[in-house]
This record gives sequence, structure tokens and C-alpha cells, in this order.
Amino acid sequence: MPLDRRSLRVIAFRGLTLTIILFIILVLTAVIMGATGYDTVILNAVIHEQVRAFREELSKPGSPYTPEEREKMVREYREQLLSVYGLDKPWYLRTMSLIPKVLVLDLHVTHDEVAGVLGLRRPLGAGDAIAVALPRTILMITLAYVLSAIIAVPLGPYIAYKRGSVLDKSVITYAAITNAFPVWWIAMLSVFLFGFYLGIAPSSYRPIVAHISRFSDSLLSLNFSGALTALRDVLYFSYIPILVVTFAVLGGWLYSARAVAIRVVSEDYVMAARAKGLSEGTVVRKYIIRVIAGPILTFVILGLAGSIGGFIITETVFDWPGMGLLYYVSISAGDSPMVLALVYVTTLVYLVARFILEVLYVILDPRVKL
Amino acid sequence: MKPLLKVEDLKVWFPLRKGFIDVLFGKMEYVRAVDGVSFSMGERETFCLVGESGCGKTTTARAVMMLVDRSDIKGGRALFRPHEEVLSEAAKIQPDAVVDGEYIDLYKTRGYSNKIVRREIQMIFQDPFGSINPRMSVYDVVEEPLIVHGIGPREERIEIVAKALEAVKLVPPEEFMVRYPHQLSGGQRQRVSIARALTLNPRLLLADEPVSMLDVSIRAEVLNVLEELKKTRGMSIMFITHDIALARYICDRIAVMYLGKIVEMADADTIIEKPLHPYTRALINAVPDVVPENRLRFREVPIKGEVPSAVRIPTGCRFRPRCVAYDLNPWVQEHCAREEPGLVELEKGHYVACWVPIKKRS
Amino acid sequence: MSSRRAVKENPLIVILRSARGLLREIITYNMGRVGLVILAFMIVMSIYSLTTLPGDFPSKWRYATEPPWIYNPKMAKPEWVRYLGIDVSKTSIYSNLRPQDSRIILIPEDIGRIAPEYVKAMGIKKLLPFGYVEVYRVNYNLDVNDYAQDVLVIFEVKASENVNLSRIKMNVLMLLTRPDGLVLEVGEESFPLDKIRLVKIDHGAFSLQYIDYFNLTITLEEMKSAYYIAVFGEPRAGGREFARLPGEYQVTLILAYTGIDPREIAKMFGEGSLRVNVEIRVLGNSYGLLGTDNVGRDLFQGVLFGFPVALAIGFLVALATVMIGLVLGVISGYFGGRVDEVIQRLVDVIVNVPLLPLLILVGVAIQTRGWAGWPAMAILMFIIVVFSWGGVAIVTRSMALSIKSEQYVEAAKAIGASTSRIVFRHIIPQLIPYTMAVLVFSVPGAIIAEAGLSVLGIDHGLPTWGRILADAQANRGIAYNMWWWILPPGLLLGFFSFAFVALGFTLETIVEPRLRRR
Repeated sequence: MPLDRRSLRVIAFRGLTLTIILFIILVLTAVIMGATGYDTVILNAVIHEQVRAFREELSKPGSPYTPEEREKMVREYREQLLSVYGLDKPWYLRTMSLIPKVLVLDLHVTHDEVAGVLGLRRPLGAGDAIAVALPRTILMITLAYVLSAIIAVPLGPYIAYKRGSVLDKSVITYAAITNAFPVWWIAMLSVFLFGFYLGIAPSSYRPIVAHISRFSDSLLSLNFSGALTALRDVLYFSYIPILVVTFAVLGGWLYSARAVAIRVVSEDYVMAARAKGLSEGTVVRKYIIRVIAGPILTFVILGLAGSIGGFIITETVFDWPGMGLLYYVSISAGDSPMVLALVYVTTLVYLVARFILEVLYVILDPRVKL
Repeated sequence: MKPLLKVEDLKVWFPLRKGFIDVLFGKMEYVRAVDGVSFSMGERETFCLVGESGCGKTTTARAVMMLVDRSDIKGGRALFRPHEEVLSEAAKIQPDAVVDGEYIDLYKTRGYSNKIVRREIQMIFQDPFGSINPRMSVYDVVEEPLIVHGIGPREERIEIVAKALEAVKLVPPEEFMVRYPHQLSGGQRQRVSIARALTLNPRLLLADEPVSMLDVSIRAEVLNVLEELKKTRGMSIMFITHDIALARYICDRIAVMYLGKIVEMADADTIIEKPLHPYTRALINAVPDVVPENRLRFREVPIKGEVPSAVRIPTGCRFRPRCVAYDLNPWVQEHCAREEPGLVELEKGHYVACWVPIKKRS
Repeated sequence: MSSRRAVKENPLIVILRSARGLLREIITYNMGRVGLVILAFMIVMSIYSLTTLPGDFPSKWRYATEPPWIYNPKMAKPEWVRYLGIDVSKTSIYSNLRPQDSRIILIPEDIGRIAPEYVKAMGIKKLLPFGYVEVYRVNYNLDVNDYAQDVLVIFEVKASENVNLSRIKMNVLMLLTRPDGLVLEVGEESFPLDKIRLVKIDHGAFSLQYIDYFNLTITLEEMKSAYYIAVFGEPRAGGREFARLPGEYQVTLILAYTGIDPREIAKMFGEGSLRVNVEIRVLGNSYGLLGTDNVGRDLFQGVLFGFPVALAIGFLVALATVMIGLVLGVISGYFGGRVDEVIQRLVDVIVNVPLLPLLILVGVAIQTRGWAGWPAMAILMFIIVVFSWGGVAIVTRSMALSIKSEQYVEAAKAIGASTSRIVFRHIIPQLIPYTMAVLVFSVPGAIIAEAGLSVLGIDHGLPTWGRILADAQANRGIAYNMWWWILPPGLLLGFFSFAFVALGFTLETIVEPRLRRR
């Protein structure tokens, strides 16, 4: 069905709105980083430390410089650092000047800790850092989401159909429990239980970096047996996080899929279809699945899009070097370019997913008017 | 005797979409719900607006009740003649709303003057289930107008509420006061609705299809209450209905509306006995026959097609695409297509907007 | 007339009655019952917490290396685990002790008459017991196959103003008589009365003689690292191994006051112008209801403090969020037009803001500025409120839109009701059930977010459940088998939020009849 001009206008308008939202969020983040002065405090401490090390280096016995020369060099070094970190400019110039650059990801990691958490060294582009961290988050969280979707999408409507059964009640209780307990606490428990106490899983997941790169290296060099052992290590380092996230996410998804289906199951047109004498199978396929596909697709897609930002706390608890940990380390180290880059990428992906869904709605449902 | 209400060339147009985009691109389309309606109502008169759904009769009533957004009133005015004291009070705060020293232009009232005029005009709504707040007791519902208008200490208000409930035959009132809407039948709710309208003792009561959503068996109880109120309180009633047979039973005068305009207006008996407009004839022919066996016979309803959209109103006479008289009278066709007929008084008190009788007469 | 007067009731009574009706309905659902029970427990615990914990508890908790925490055993299990058959030594506290004997002793050898164990004790015995001497004895029954952690003595000196405390010196000798008859001098300390502090087991006092006595092959350094095992155990294989030595232990405390004429000291004690309260604690490996953490903080008290904080913060944040969402949603839906447009765009922004990173950002900013305590918490909660009302506003807006076109709103307009009357009397009451459900659902949100931030290391300085978990996370190497450190705060967090999730599910079912059981 070709889109009429009005629908096109609606889509264009939504696209514009979402772009403006993205821009506002970036400015908001920049303002908060600059106006609270949190990065200035952190950066000043960093500079102070580096200047002290520099001075010590110069003052070593046998240094060829006079004390005056030394002081001058230290002063110059200090000014150089101030301009490197942008502290010689007021905060709005410093943080706002990042915004045009972030749009093309022309930013760099400014702190060694941030590069270190990924197992890399500076200089490191923000885009490269994200490119390294993202697959690890996908391995843990997105994979868990996909698993949850595979289980929840067919099972949710089935449960809705069996409303009031033991299965239904236990799923609701399970959903309520996983909704209540934070994922990161379950992660903490699993680290303590499986990692430390039982010793059947790692207690820190940072080494996954080495195993993943070993795996890809062996694959590239066609060393399949090496790849297999590397894969085994990757699995050993990832099965607990994947299971934990799946366990935590699945309940909510089952509940949502069930809730969507229940609304439909009791609709008049489903009753009418049954009254017509259609078989239960036909009713489920043609009248229920078809209607709930939209809402379920919506939360699956939005969930997947949201997952690429990582679970900041859970990844930190596991010490899992993905997007979430990168996010956290960037923030706590005061690496404003990296923070802005992460806000930009995660929000962009989420908003693009939303936009695609909205376009689909306009195309598929003639009633949608924005 | 001067009319109580004069509606002059009233136009109510609703913008089709009020979206941000339309404002941005500067394109507006309107639903012309009421498109130039004029009539007047005398005191103690029951006046009916009849027409099929979507013809603008409810919008006309809502416009008179001042429930339509001022920005949607695209032309005309509604003049109302209130009691002396209300008039003088309104004149004090808003002299520009007073017309001819006796009338108030309803659409010029603002704030307090608007509020005091509302005491004189009240309305009963179509849906007995939707027009009463489900979270309020009957007492709260009927008392609300009194609170809004700051009437009486509580004892007096209770007295007024009790009287209003008695007047609509909800007796004993003490028992009904504490009930909630879900504990009442449809007919009882509609009578609560009437009681709410009565507490302010209005001069004009607008009844928007008050019985159309009630079971046939309990319509009479509501209609009888209205009939009695008219007699005892001397109220004027504007009665909106799609049922021309019911209109004849209730009303002194009937106006038939089609697509936002009045097409025929006359005494109830005249319009039923001697309809002049083809649409009126169609409405009358659609009424089921009283004689049961006649109902089984095929009767021709002289109308064709569907109601056009109120957004794209046909040029010339707006009834033309559906008109049987248009097909039968080729000699007026040119007129019908070119110009919209105005409402012409062909006989004393009998107005019609159709080229066929107008041209025949002249 | 009287019956007519009864038609209008006190609105408070009406609210209470509908609340009672709601409760009755909630109770008919299993989930609702569970939720209510947990909630009631939370409220009782909160009241208990508010009435028992001191007002400066947060700062006490923060300074972990100061009293009262240093008087507690470290990493102690909860006391009740012994009833599960686990061998764990108990912590015994002996306070308000009276000396068993007190007299003036001028020749140190005379001490044998009032404390014969001193003569038998092995130790360095550098300080001599003479002057005005008091002897305290307590018995500690090590009734399980376990070691104890430590023995410590806490002094509290009270004196009238004319007593010059700095001139009086107190020599403390602490002896331990073991079940095998061995007497160890486990502590020796001497200080002026105005600089009083606590006395603990001192490995230096007995180690050398102990090694000699048992003919051990270990070095003094090795002995030091496990002195409590030596005190409460029997060496095997030359000291490479120890066997636990359960049985009856006796702590003997000899306090010798010198510096001024002992008769004068005796007189001060006699007339009460000088008093020294002595408390002896034998620290076992279990303590209190929930044990202690790695620095001896009583986890029960820490967890107890979390109850009112969780309830108060949860409710305040949820209430503020829902109220803002409700008001802005209704304004947006009812008035429409430009106001609606502005609010809608605002909602568009705030529902897409990545809240957690923002919170971390603000949290780190707060921390680098050195703010702590309630103001820091308030700022974090404020951020949560500011960026959470969007969802409520979206729903209330659409509900207000549909209610706005209801005929009873038209009817209210027809009678001339003012806008505020329509909004507050006709629209908002319809939204209350939904709002209640959302309110209940969102109560745990704030405290879970706070816990998450704490675990990330953002320290607002209050002992919340999240803060306790964060401490465990920071000490993961030692915390891993201290289940009593990890489980209770996490479980409470979970039960707390489960209660509201369960109540929320129930309310949702009541409010949305289509979800109701057939």
C-alpha cells in the first residue's frame, strides 16, 4: 500500500520530533556534566597527580635543570594538561563543543581507566571503544533477551488461554518475584554462590575479553580445534550471566505477553469467531495471534533496542566488560566525551527502533493518527 | 408575546483535525455540523428538532446550552430573554451582551454573566448511564447545581433537592438521595437527570433525545414527567428527537433538520398532515404503521442514497443527491443545482426550504 | 428531616470507608494478602526502628572503626544458627560488674591471697598488682566445638569534679583460666584514668611462655597471626595445628590503682566520688540476630535502619511522581491546545532520557563535592521524580481526554460548574483507582534505584539496604561465605518490592475488570 501524503507528513514529523528529543537529551547530559562541575573536580585531581609525577621525574638526582627551569617546565606542562582536558575553558564551551563532534562520533577516550576496562590502551576513539564493548553486551544481555523472547512469545498467549490454571498462577508469582528482586542482586548472589562458594563458575568475568579475542583469532586463522576450546572458555565465562539475565527478564515478558493476549481473548470479535463455530486452532491463529503480534513485537523490539545500553549495575557486579561497565567507568572517571558518546549511541538506537515501530504502525494501521 | 429564544443564522463548524501538523501546514477542513440555523421559541412552548443522526440537532442544542467551544461557533447568534433580575445583573457586569434591552446574546457572555444565564437554561442528556457521575450519590448529583450557584444553606438545599426528586416521582426522596447511579434503572437515572436540571428552576429546558436510550416500556414515565413539568412550572422545552412520531405526541411545533440546516418548520399537526419538504415526507413514511398488518406490506420511503459527509456538503440544495422530488421535477433541477433554497414562510407559520413548493407557489 | 440530614457525610469517613472496602477486596486475592502481610511487617519494623535506633545512627554507621562497632566480634554469624546444629561460639556480655574483692595491697606477692591464679599464670607480668586492687571474675562457657574471637574490657570512669583523674593510674591485668587448668595472662595495660580505653587480648603477653610451655616449633610471628586459636585451643604437631578446647573459661581482671595514696583511692570509691564501670565481653563467632560485617557492625541494626528509609523514600518518591504525572496529564488532556503540546513534548523528552546513567552522573557529582547524608539522598530522589512522571502523565492524559467527553462532564458544564470543580470533582476522582495502582507499583522503584547506585559505589552516606549490599560487594573476597551479610538486605529489598508488586497486581485486577478471574 503506497503511503498517502498525510502519512508521509506524519512520519516526517515524528522523525523530526525524535531527532529534536535526541538533541535535547544530549544537551541535557552536557549541561549536567558541565554545570555540576563533577568532571572538573575529577580532572583537577588527575592533572594534579600527573603534574606531581612530572615534577618528581624532573627532580630526580642528576637532573640537568636548575630549579627555575624546573618550575617553568612544570608550569608549562600543567597548562598543556589544562588545555588537553579543556579546563582552560568555561564548562559550557567545554561540554557544548563536544555535541557537534558526538554526532559523528569524533570523540576520544580521555582516561586510561576507561580504555583499561575494555582491555585496550589510549589513544582510543569513542566509536572504537563502543565497537569493542557492544559485542560483549550483545553476548550477555541481548542473547538473554532473545532467549526470553523465544520462550515468552509462544508461552504468554498459551498461559492467557489457560487462565486460572496452576501454570498461570505460578507464572504470575514468578513474574512478581523477578519483578521484585533486582537483577543485579541475583547476579551478586550467583557470583557468591557459583563463583566463590561452589566454584563452578568464575568470580570475575573480566577475562572473557581474552577468550573472545582468542576465539575470533583462532577462527580467522582457521584453527578450529583452538576455536573450539576458546568457545568452551567463552561459554564457561558467559553461561551464568546469560542465565541470570534470562531468569530475571523472562518473568516480566511472560506477564506482558499474557496481559496482551488476555485483552484479546475476551474481545467480542473472538467470541463471535467462536460462536461462528470456527475451530479453536483457527480462532487462536487467525484472531488472537494476528492481533497480539503487534504489541508483542513492540515490546520485543524496544527491549532489544534498550538492551544494547547494557545493564550498568549487573555488568559492574559481574565485572563484565561490556557497554554497561564502560558506561559506569566513563562516568565515575569523569570521561565526559565517552559519556556523551554512550548517551548518544544508546539513545539513538532506542529512538530509531521507536521510529521504525511508529512507521510500521502508520503503514499497517490506517486508524493511527498522530 | 416576545419569543424566549431567538437563534439567528447559527453556524457551528468543527475543525476536522486539530493536529499540530495541520496548524503547521496551515490546512484546515471543517465538519459543518450546524450550517446556518434560525428559529425562535416562545414561552411555555415545546419545540422539537427532528432529524436523523448527524444532522446537527444535538449540536444545535449544545450550542444553545453554550457547551460548544466559542471558537467553533463560526457565525450567527443566540438571543435569550431571561428574568428581569438575571438580565439586570448581567447588564451590570456585561452591558455589551444585552440586545434590545431584553435579550442576552449568549455568545457574548463571559465568566460570571455566563454562569448566571446558565441558571435559566438547563439540559437533559441522551445517555442516562453517561450523564451522571458514577461516583456521586443521587443527592450529590442533584445538589451540585445549587452548590455551583451558591444557593442556600445546606438545609435549604436538601429541601430543594427533595422537592426536585418528588417532582420527578422519585419517592420517597430520602431513600433515593443516598443511592448511587449503579443502583438505579435507566428511567430512574434519567429522572435524576431531570431533577438536576430542575433545581435551578430554569425557563428553558433542552432535552436531547431523553428517551431514545430507554426501554420502550419505561419511556412513558419520563415523558409524562416532562409533560407535567411543562404544565406545572411553565417551562419551555426544546425537545431533540429522531422520531417524528414522538415529536408529534410531545411538541407544539416541529423543525426538521437535514445536514446542518432546518428544511421545514411548522405546527406539529401541520407538518405531519401536510408536509411540504421531500425529506419530511420521507421521515413520516418511515414511521411504522399503527395497524399491524400494514407493517408487513412494502412501503416506499421516498428517499435514496446515504447521508453525505458534513465536510463536503453538496452544492446548491444540500438534499439534492437524495431527493426524489428532484428526479420527478426536471423543471426545477437547474435551480436546485445552482442555489440553496432559503427557509420561506409559505403559509402562516409554515416554513420550508425546497425549490419545488416555493417555485410552484410563485 | 433527620434522615434527610444524613445524606451528606464527612468526607474523611467516606474515604475511610472506601479504603476499608478496598482492603476487604484486596484480601480476597492471595497476592493481595501476601502483599498486605509483608507491608504490615515493614510498618511494624519501621516503627520499631524509629523508636530504638539513635538519631545519629547514620554517622555512627559511617565511622566503622569507632565505638560501638569495635566492641563487637567481626564477621560473626547470627546467634540463632547454633540452633541449626552449627558449632558457633556465643558472644557474652557481662556489664554492671561488681568487684569480687577489693583491698589495698602494698606488697605484690600478697595478690596470691585474693587472686591465686595470678601466681599460676604464665605471661610476662611486667606490671605489678599493688596499690588499691580490685578483682573481677566472669565465667564463659565455650559450649561448642569452636574458638572465641577475643576478650575485651570496656571501662567507663565517672568522677566528681574535685578528683584529679590524670594523677591516678590504672594497671590492668587480664587472666584467662582455661578448662585444662592452664592460666594465661592475656593482657597487660596501664594508663591514667582520664585517658581510659579498652583492653583486648594481647598476643605479646603470653606468646613466648606459651611456646616454651608446649614446646612449639612455630615462630613468634606465626603465633601472633593466630593468637586467638592459641588462647582457645590446644596445640598439636608443634603448633602447626590446633584443636579446639571447649569448656568452662574464667576471665580474671585485676585492676591496680596507683599514683596517689591507695587509702585515698579507697576512700573515693567508698564515698562514690570515683566510680569505674567495668564491662567484660567475650566475643564469640556469633552475634545478635543477623551477625556482624567485617568491621563488627551489627547487621541487624543496619538492616533495621533500612525499613523506615525504604518506606518513606519509596512512598514520597512514588507520591511525588504520581501526583506530578496526574496533574500534568489531566491539565494536558483537559485543556489541550498549546499547553498540551508543551507537556507532550516534555514527556517525549523525559521518557527517553537514560535515567540510570543520569543518576550515576549526579551521584558521582555529589560524591566529588563531598556531600553526604540526607541532602545527597534528597538530590538523587529529586532526579528520579523529575524524570519518572512521564508514563503516568501519558496514561492520565488519555484518560482525561476520554472522561472530558463524557456526558456527565458536559452536564457539569451545563450547570455552570467551574473548570476547577470539573477537574477536581469529576475528572480526578475517576483517575484515583488507576493512580493508586500506579502509586503502589512505583513505591519500590526509588529504593531499588538507590540500592543499585550504592552497589555501584555511589555513597550517599546513609545505611540503607543497598549500602550494606554495596559494602559486601566491595569486600567480595571475604563476604562470599558471609551469607548473613548478602542475603538479608537483598531479601528485604526483594520482599519489600514484592509486597508492592503483589498489591499492584491485585489493585490492577480490581481496577481493570477485564483481568478479573471468571
